[in-house]
Amino acid sequence: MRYGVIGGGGMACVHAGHILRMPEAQLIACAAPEFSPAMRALADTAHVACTADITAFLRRDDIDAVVVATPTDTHALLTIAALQAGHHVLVEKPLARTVAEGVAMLEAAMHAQRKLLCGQVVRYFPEYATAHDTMVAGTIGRIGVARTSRAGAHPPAHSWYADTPRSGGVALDLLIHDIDWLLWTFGPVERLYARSITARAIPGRDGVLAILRFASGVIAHAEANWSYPDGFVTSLEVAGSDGIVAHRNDGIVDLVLRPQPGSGATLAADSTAQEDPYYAQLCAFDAWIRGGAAPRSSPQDSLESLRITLAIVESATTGAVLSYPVEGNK
Amino acid sequence: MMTTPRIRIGIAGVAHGHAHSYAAAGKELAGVVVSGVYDHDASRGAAFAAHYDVPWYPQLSDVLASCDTLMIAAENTQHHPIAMQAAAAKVPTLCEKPLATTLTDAQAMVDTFAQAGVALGTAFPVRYSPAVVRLRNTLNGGALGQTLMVRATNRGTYPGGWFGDPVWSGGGALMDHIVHVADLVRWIWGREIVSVYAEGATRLHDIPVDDVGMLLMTLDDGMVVSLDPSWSRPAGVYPTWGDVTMEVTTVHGIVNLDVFGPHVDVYQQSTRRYQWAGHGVNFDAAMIADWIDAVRNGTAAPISGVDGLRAVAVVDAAYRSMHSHRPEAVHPLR
Repeated sequence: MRYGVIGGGGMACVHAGHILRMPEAQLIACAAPEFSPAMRALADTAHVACTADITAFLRRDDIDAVVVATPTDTHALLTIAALQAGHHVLVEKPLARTVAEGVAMLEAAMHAQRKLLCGQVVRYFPEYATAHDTMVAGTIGRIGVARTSRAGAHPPAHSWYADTPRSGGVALDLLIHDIDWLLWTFGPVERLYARSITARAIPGRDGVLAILRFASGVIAHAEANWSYPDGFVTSLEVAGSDGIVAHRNDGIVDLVLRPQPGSGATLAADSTAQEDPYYAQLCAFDAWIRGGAAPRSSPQDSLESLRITLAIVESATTGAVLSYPVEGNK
Repeated sequence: MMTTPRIRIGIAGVAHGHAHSYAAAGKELAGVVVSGVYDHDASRGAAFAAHYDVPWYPQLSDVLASCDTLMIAAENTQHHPIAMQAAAAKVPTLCEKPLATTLTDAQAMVDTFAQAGVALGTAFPVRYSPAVVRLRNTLNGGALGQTLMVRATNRGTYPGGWFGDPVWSGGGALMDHIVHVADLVRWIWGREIVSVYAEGATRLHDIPVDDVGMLLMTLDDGMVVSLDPSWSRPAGVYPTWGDVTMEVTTVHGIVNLDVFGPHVDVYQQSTRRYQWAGHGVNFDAAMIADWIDAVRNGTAAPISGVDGLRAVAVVDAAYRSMHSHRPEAVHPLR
C-alpha cells in the first residue's frame, strides 16, 4: 500500500513514522504548507518527498491512501479532495470542525467508493479496549455510572489548538476521545447537560464538565481540562451492579528507571512498540483497504462522536439541557 | 451563672453509625458523659445502651430531661420529629445529616430552634478533616487565584437496611451523599449554590430509592462543581467504604483532595480481601469536641442548622432536577 501524508506537525509525524515501519507499506510523499523540523528530518532520512503543493500531491497516481493530520478546520476540505482524487483517507480526530462538514465527508466517501476512517484512536488504546470488552462481556453486571477524565496543559497561545474557531477547543481536542469511548460502549445518548469555564476567557485555562444520560439508562460524567500546569492524566471508571472497572494512566507502568543525576542512563528501546495504538489503528485501516474487517469505528460513529461533543459545547454555552429522540424510547 | 463542670449527652436514635461516635465521646472526652439513649426500636436502643453501659429510656422525653445536649443519630425521616421535641424542651441539639428529608421540615427545625433561642447544629464532620481545612486556608490565602471548576465525589457502598427504605431514608444516594460536599463547597468557598442539574436512577441494587446519580452545580459567582453521590462502591470487594474527593481547578494550579486517602494496604488471606486501614485524623471526635465546647460555653453552633438547611435545599433542587430534566434553582434562604 502506497501512502501519502497531509500535514507537517506532530500528529503527521507520528503517522508518517508508523507508515514507514509497517510491512508492505510505502510512504510516497508528504504535503503541507510547512513542516516541523522533526517531520522534515523523518522525511529526509526515509527519502520521502515533501511538498507545499497539495494540489499536485493529490494528483499523483502512485498514492493509494492518504493520512490527513492537519488543523481541524481543514479536515473536511482536504479529506473530500483526497477522496475525490481516488484515495482512501485516514483523517485525524475530530472528524471535522462542524457536523455539516462531517456529513459532507461521509457523502464524499460514499460517492468516491473509497474507505474513510477517522482516527478516534482511544478505541485502540489497550486499556480502553479492554475496559470496553469487559462491559460487553457483562463482567460487572448492569452498568450504573461511568466517569471519564482527560486533563493536560493548555496548548501554547500561538498554536492552532488554542484557536477555538479552528480547533473546537478543549472539547474537540480532549473530550471527544472519551465521548467516542462512551458511545462505543453504552450506545446512543438520550440527554446531556454541560458547564465549562470557556466563557471566563482566562488565557491558558479551559475545561468542561458534562453529564450524559444514555438511552440504556447509564449515567456518565465526562471531563476535559486544559488547565493543568503540565502532564497528561486520563482516568476511567465504570460502576455496575457486580463491581467496578477502573483505569488511570498515571502510575500503571511495567518498567521504570530512576537515573542518577548526570548519569544519562535511559531504558532500552521498547521492542513491543507495535502495540502502539496509532500503529494498531493504521494497521486496521490498511487491512480494511485490502478487503479485511472494518476498523473499530465507522465514519458514522465518528460523526456521532462529533455531534455529541459539539452538543456538549452548545449546552455549556447556552445552559440548555439537550435531549435526543431515541429509537424505542420516544 | 455557674458553668456546668460536666456535659451530659443524650443520644436520640442509634440507627446511624455516628451514634457510636457519640457514645465513644462519652467515654473518651474529658468532662463528658452519656446520660441517656432513646430509640423508637426499643430492643436496638437497649442493646446499644447496654453495650456502652449507659442508661436507656423508652421515652425521648426522659432522655431530654437527662441531658445538656442531644445528639440525633436516628433515621433521616426521624430527625425532624425528634428535633422539634428537643426544641420544645430547650435542649441544644446536634443533628445527623441530612438535617431533614424535606426543605419544609428543615426550615421548621431552624425556625423553631431560633424562636426557642436554643442552638441547633448539623453533623458535618468532614469540615474537620485537616486536608479540607488546609484546602480552605490555601484558597483563602489567595495564592491560587480564582477557582474555576471543581470535580467532586462522595461515593460509597450501599449502606443497606433503612437507607434503602424511603419511609426511613426519604431518598437514596442523592439524599445520603449530596449534603457533605454541598456543605464543604459552601464552607470552603463562602458561596451559595444557586442552581443544580441532576441525573439519578436505580441501577445497581434492587431497592425503591436512587442508587446512582450525577450533579452539576453552579455557585452564585459562576463557579462550577460536579458531584458524584453514587452508592457505587461494591460492598465486600472495594477496599474501603467510599470517598470524599475534589479536583479543584484554579487559575494558578490544580489541587487534589482525598479526605479519606491516608491508608495502609491490608491483604488478608482468610477473608480473601484487600482493604484499606485508614489512619487519618478522627474527624467525628473533633466535631463532637467542638460542639461540646459550644454547649459548655453557650456559644453558637460551630456548624449551624442553617448550614444543614442550605445543604438540604441543594438536595431538594437535585431531586426536582432529576424529575424535570432541567437545571433547578436552589430555593434561597427564607
